Amino acid sequence: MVWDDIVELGGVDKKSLQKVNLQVQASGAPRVWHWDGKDFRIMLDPFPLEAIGKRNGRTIPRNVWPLSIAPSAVQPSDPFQTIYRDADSARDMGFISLDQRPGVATIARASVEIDLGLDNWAERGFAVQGLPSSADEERPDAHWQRSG
Amino acid sequence: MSGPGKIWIKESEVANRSWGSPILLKSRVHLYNFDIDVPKLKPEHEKFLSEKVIPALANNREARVILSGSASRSGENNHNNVLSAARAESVSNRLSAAGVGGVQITDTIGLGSPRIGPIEDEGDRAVFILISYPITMKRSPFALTIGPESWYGTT
Repeated sequence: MVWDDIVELGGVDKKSLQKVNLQVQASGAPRVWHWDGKDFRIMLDPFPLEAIGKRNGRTIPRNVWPLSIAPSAVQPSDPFQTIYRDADSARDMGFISLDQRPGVATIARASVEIDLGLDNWAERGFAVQGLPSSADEERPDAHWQRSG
Repeated sequence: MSGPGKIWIKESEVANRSWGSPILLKSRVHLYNFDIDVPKLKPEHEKFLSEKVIPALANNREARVILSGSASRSGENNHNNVLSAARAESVSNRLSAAGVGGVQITDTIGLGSPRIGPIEDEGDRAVFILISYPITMKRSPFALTIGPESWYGTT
């Protein structure tokens, strides 16, 4: 699994932050076996996404995000690929705002991290996606981190 | 003859593991109701192997399979040991002929017959297939999005 994209919440475009949508694609086994008029699930449901979450350098308590199998309408035609999704508020996803100051939150798969720059999101409820920032602006930088 | 070959499928489960380690799915299949004293696969077994097991193993070359043959309690123990091993070997040969044998088959064994239960039970004339699938994950395009919309249309 490779996390190589950056999402940042900066609070500059006044978009309301209400949901975090998480999607992963798993492969290695058939999604389901149809046999003798019945469906036998092979891939897990839910799938335990295990990750390390941090905010302002501190690890958040939550480290497992159970992802449900996405609706069949969005599943790939390849029966050996399975899409999982979850959607919830950032708070319910475990990214609790600790104070009133801007900060950085990260979610990492094993030793690899994806950063969420959460600038006071819980208090103001604004977000911007995908814009890098600089220390001069006292906004957290988003880092590219890769792993195989 | 004892009727058509039968197949029982158990939904998969995760093997014991520690947090953060790769996920290994275990899936169990039971091919049973072999003819009495016969190791040969029935057409229903062949069809299931061809349509389900072989494609799954071909799709994931890291997947591994263990084949365990079984025999009913009728007959001598030594005979049943040989017969059960021959049933497992029938499945192994079928997989190998389809190009998913070799290192993907980690064990082919004969269990003999159970010590208790009916003398003749279709469930004992069988091959148990245990498939282990290493699962890999990647982020889908736009895997992590933040905004007012959710996947399920609620805000």
